[in-house]
Amino acid sequence: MASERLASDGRRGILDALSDTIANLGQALLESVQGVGAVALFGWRTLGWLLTRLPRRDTLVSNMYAIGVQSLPVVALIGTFIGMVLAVQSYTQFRAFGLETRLGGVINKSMFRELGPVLAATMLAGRVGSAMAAELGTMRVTEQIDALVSLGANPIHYLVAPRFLSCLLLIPSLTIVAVFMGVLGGNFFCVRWLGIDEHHYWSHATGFVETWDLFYGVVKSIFFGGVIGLVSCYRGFNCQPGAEGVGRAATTAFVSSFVAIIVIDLFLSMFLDEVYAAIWPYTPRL
Amino acid sequence: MTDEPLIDLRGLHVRFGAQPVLRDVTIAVRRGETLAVIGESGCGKTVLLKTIIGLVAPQRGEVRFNGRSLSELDDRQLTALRTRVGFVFQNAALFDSMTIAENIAFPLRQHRAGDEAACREQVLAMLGEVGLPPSVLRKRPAELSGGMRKRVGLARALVMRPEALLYDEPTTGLDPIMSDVINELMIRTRQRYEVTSIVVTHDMHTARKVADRVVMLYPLARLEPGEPQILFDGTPDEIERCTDRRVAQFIRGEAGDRLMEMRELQDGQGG
Repeated sequence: MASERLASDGRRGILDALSDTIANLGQALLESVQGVGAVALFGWRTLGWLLTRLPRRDTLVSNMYAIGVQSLPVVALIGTFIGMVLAVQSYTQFRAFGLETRLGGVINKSMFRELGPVLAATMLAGRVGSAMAAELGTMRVTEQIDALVSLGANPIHYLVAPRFLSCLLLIPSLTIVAVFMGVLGGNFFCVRWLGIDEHHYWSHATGFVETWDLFYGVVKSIFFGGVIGLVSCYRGFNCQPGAEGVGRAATTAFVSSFVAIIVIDLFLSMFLDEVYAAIWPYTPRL
Repeated sequence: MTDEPLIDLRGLHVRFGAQPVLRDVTIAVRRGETLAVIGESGCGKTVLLKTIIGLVAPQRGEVRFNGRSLSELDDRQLTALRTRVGFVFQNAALFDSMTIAENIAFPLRQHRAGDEAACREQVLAMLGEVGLPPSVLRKRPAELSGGMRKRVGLARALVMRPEALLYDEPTTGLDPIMSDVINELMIRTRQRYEVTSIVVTHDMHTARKVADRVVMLYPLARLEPGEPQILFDGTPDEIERCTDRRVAQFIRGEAGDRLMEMRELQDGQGG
């Protein structure tokens, strides 16, 4: 009798645990959908302001300086090292087949299409996105956003629109810098360090890369810039009270932006490959 | 002072999620009057102020300003209304990224009220009004003391010449001398600009000194169901004679039964 009760309790325990897990999963899914909806609504309102009234020049310039100019050194540095790391990682395999002169093609193609845009965006999500979330979060916590509203200013127009626009316009430019520095870094390492013939390196490099690859990377970076601006401002805007809330807003801004960048990267890559195939149907794809 | 209310709160109900903050609050503030709203922390005083300028939307009831309900206004009209109501925040809420001059000039630039020369003139005049020297103009808020920040907050709220001023705990965190400076500024501002004021405060000295009328709110969690949230509404002299135990406890600053509650809680957690 007692053993039957124990077995029945055990089954109920497992069922309870299972239903709790399903409920928690459902809750998490609902919250994710709500979160995506809230960010989309936030984006819609920002876009509405951008279309009806451009941000003030002083706020736009100061944001562009903080997002673009101040990020330039670190983006250039990261780009250079990524180019060199690609050379280090690929050299042994290519040399085994006697194809080391083709390293330039691989490095440059990777930089133009994938690593340039994604790594620049990831780095900027960390540097710019977290800073924006923390700044707006602090403004929320210290009632500065309420003060803006009470003074008759719209915080979306005053705070979000210039940041979003700066990210949208400048992250592509920073991506181009990262790509350019990566190409130079890869070339420097292959030619000066590994002793690959420069003429053959460049001739293969230029043969592999097309204008489409540059377009491919820049289109991606526009979306990445937009998503970094939007998600980071949203997180800062909806910051919870206190220092912990600001810290969490900065962290979640980076994590959410990073996840969004990777997901968007996949779908954009698929889409752009389809566009390429539609425009140039007889060209073999990589 | 006229009998016509400039700010009329009718049956306000505000809740955040499952947490009710204001329940059936009705207050009319006449034009030119200074009303002090007192009450312990968490009773909804700041929420009440934020509801008046539409920063918090009530679930029920309405806020009427100069006879018009806020719920009838579109965004543009609400923005226009906000230029007629100045808000002095508890910690001044000055914009960190701007200088003091830019902070005070912000509403003027936002609403394009005059050219740059006129704007500079107004900023200087407002600074003089709150008794600050022009040397602070280029400083950032973080470089000023708490009292100076509050005065800059008042200058920023006054620069658009509002009809009403809402003060959120204007003397909290200040020394007694600076508190009195702020009290005097509130009195002078009222006399000079004939503004209608609502002062949210814990400080009975401030309430007695600046207010024509005092309203005391009580936290909903401590009220019996159906009991009104406004425990007192009258003049500063009348509140001294109020026989309600909770009002008397607040104005005398006595812990009373709260000490007992705290001890019970401590015993409960310890045992």
